[in-house]
Order: sequence, then C-alpha cells, then structure tokens
Amino acid sequence: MNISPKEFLSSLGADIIFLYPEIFLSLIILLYTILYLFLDRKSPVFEFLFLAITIGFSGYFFSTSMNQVLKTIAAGTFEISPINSFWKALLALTLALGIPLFKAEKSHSNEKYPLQYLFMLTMLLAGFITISARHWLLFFVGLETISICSYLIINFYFTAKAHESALKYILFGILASCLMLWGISYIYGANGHLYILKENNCNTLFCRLGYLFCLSGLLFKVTAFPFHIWFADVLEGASYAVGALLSIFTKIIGFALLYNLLSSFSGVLAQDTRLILAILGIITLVIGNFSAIKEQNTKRFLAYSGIAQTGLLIAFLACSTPSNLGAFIFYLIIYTFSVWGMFYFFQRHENKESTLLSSIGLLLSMVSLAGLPPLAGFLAKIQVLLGIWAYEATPVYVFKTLLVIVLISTLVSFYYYLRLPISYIKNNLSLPSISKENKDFLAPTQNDIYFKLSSLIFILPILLLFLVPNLINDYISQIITTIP
Amino acid sequence: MLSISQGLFYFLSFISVLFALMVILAKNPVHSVIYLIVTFFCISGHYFMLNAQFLGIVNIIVYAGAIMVLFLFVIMFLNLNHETEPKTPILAKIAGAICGGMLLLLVVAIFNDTQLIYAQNPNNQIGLIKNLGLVLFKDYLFPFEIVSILFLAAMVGAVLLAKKDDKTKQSDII
Repeated sequence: MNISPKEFLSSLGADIIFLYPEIFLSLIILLYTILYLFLDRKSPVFEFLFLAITIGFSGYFFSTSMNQVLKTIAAGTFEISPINSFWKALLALTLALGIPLFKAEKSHSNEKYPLQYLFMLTMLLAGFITISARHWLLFFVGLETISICSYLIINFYFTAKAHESALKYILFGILASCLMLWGISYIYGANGHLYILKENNCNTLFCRLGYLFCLSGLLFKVTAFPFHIWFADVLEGASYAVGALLSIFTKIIGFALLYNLLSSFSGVLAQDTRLILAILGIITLVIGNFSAIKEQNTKRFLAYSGIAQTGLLIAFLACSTPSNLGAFIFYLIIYTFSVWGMFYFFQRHENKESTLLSSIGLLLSMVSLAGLPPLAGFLAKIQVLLGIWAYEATPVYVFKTLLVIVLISTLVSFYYYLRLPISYIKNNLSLPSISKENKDFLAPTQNDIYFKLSSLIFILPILLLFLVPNLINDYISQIITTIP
Repeated sequence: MLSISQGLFYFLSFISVLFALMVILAKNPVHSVIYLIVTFFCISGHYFMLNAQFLGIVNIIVYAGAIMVLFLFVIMFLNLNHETEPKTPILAKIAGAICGGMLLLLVVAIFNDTQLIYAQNPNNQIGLIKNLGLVLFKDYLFPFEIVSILFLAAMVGAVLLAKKDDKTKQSDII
C-alpha cells in the first residue's frame, strides 16, 4: 500500500484547487531563491516582485473571500472559509504596506538584502497555512516557520545589537514553542487525536491545562503578559522596518489564530479561556501603559505602546461574541495602517528628514492609535470599548475590573501618544531622543514625490475611514454573517 | 513480583530521573552535558521498550549524537566554568523555586484528578519505521511538505548568518 505524491494529489481530487494559492506562493519562493542567485543584488526586481505578489494575494483573497464556502480539505487538516480568506488578505496587505520602510533602509544594507523579502514571503506562506490549519501538527509547523523567519529577519540590521536581539528572541521563542508542544502532547493524551474540531470542550483539568499551554505560543506572538519581556529588548536592536513587521505582522497572525482557537472552544473550556484572557489582558494593559509613560528610548517606547495595544485586544478577545467580531476586525485594519505609519514617520525623523509632512503624519498616526475623534482610530476604539462594556460573564468583578482598567489605560495612552509629537513640534522639528548609532543606517535622501506618496498611503486610510467607515464596514458585516 | 519489562522500566526511569537531577546539580557544565547524554540513552531505552525503534535510534543519533556534541563544543568554546558563571540573586532563586514548585503541584494535582483513557486495541507495531513512513506520506503528507518550506528558510538563514560579509565592519560583529 505504497502511496506516491501523485496518488496523494489525485486523492485530493477536485480539492486541490483550494490549495492553489499556497502552491503558487511556494513556487514564487523557489523562483525568488533562484533569482537571488543569478540577478544583481541591487536590482529593483526583488521589490517589484514582492510588491506584486503581496498586493496580488491581498486582492485575490479580498475579492474571493465572499465566494468561499466552509470546507475542510487534505484529510480534514486544512480549512477554507470566508473569515480565513479575510485574515490571509489582511496578512498580505500588511506586508505590502511595509515596502516604503524596507526600501528606506535599502541603501545602507549589504548585498544580502533581497533575502529579507524571501523570508517575508515565507512568513506569508506559513501564515496562510497556520490560519487554515485544523490540525495541531500543521499548526505547529506553520507557527515555527513564522518564528524562524522572524529570528532571521532581525539579523538584517547587521549590528552587534541586532544579533543580541535575535538571540534573545530565539531563546524566548523556543521557551514558548516548548510550552506549546507540551500542551499539544496533553491534548493528544486527552482527545486521542490532534484535530482542532469545531466544538472543543474538555471536562478534565488535564485537557484544559494542555489548551492553556497551547495558548502560550500564541500569547508569545502577540506579546501578552507572561511573554511580553522580549519585545522591548528585541525592538531596541531591530531596525524600524523589522520592528514594525514584528509588531504588526506576527501580532495579526497571533490574534487571528487566537480568535480561531477561541471560536472553536465551547463549554467550560471557553469560559476558562475567557477568564484567563481577561486577567492577562488586565496585567498586560497595566504593564504596557505604565512602562510606556516613563520610557525615554524611542524604540522601547514603541514596544511598550505595542504591548498596551495588545492588552486592549486581548481584553476584547475575552469579551468577544460572534456579533461584535466586526469591531475586532475594524480595529486590526486601522491598527495596521496606524502602526506602519508611526514607524515610518519615526524612521524619517531619525533619518534627519524632518519635514512638516512627516511631523503631521506622526501626529496623525499616533492620535489614531490613541483613539481621538478626527481619525478612524476613534471609531475602532469606541467599538472595542463598547464591546467590552456590553459583555457580561459570570465572574462579574473580573470583567468589570477589566473595563475600568481599559478606560484608565485609554486615558493614560492619550498622554504618552501625544507627548512625543507635541514635544517634537516644540523642539523645532526634532525628536528629543535620536540615537546616533541609528543615523548611519538610513538612506541619505529619497525622492520627495516618493515620500509624499508613501505618506499618503499611511495617512489617507485613517482619515478616510473616519469619514466613510462604510467603505470597509459593509465588507466586514458580510464576512461576519458567514460565521456559523 | 515484577516482570522483567516492569523491572527494566523502573530501572530506566530511576536512572533517567537521577541523571536529569544531576544535570541541574552538577557544578561543571561539561559534566552536566555528559549526564544529559545518559538521560537521553535512558529515554531511548523507554522508546525501545515501547517497540518504537525508529524513535529510539533517532533520539540517540540526533540528541545524544549531534546536539550534545554541539553543546560540548559551545561550552568548551566559551570556556564556561564556575568562576565565570553569573551570580543569581537569592530573590530570583526563591521566586524560581516557588514558580516551579507551583507548576509541579499543578501538574501532579491534575494527573491525580484525571482518569487516563486507554486505547481499546493498541497496535503494538505502530512505532515501526514502516508504519511511521506510511502515516507520514499518507495522512500527514501536507504537513510533511510544509516542513520543506521551513527547512528552506532555515537553510538560507544559516548561510546568511554564517557567510562573512565584506561590507560589514569587523568591529560590528560580536
């Protein structure tokens, strides 16, 4: 009963059509490796190819997501559904938005530079697979691929500090992976199989402990409380582009997977997980916000504000219901644009290219993250706050404490998000804490038109989506109706 | 009266726990590594007793062979010994002991609470390499193919990190 790959493909039969995006992306990765060997390393082909692939995938998944029907293929290990297609589209879009930042760091970098895009494409493929995975083996392999690519990508800053950061990231990452693997072994012991079913409930503590350990791998990716320590250290050594990638791309993957897992839980397991997430959310919010207040180093500040945002989203996940999922998706979309923008404008400042446009851009993206009215961040934040406010669950005091902490930390975040742009404007268009070592690594000057265009890419959506939120709200509400 | 396999089981378990403790308690890191190798051999013995020869041999080749040699190499390379070891604050030790103890308590309590379910008709041939290969290339072909992507990324990354770059200044390298 030998089975060849060909027979496997034929056993997939008509289902193989659902795997075309992943197969296509793997072929692109191979093509990329070959191109890297033969083309001039400074050639713009690498960027164009990367941009075309990411935008293409984003468009493909956005446009086809509504046509997808819920379906599992490849022996029940791989799930196709509209919400999964949406997450994949968001991941591809996230990578496409990073191009201005990565391009700005190009000229300082050495000839290994195009490999960075190779690793990002691999992360994208692993993200596609992990999001669709309905089997813990596939899930773990995908998550590890993402981790390995992110360990490698930090090294592209080529300083001793970056290598130190990468090493710290590896050590913490391995700890989280080990816990996750331990948890998976418990789940196998309790269930007798490794499939992630639609309705997971377990009555034994043994099984619940397994799921708790499994969550740790994801909590590491989203930098939630027990696994947040690495983030500030790693961001300090990484470049702005890679820092933004870590604080957006891996976070979106983490949240998408957390949401997927949480929606597959039921009964006692769901109650327990929500309670744990609520408590972790409270601690993460407190740590993130109060560390961000007193932080003077720009990159560490960005990290702590990222941890605070994670706290809010974890808190919201604890209170999520199928009906308020729209707020979560809306928040993540706005978060993507705002954070890429924030890192981009900080990068411009360190590059000594302080113009009025970049200062306004920084102000706008930070105000959007803080959640003040003339920007889309306000809409996102108010929906999230309302979701947490309206949720009622059994240990009332935990969820009410959560609400109070969320409100207080929103107030606190106004202070630290506004402090930097305002002090920057006061100090005659220069930031108080520019580290000298970073300066050499940025491109000397860039084309002005190019800068204006890429600024618009980040600013325009957060302005426009405040005025006409229905641009994406219609789409989001359609997606939500498909969730059973 | 214990049967031979039960006696062997208890013997291997005792040795592996003992040497695992000695890994932590040994002052000299090179001794720790050697104790760890003994632990791995005992664990491989367990695999053999479960009729999982492939897993047992892979455990010896990969862990006891490759990874432990790497460990030894790094330890000797860094010249780690008792004097260079950083002092751990007493508070951190107490905190670590409390956390570890609580985790142990949790795991023991949970195992106490749980009734283990046994398979109805266990297939004792399942650990053989033939069956493993069939499962890997049939049921789990898709994850198996995905691992190739992981290895591609890891391989390219290893080359990236190992190959010296002309433009990077020597002072920038650790």
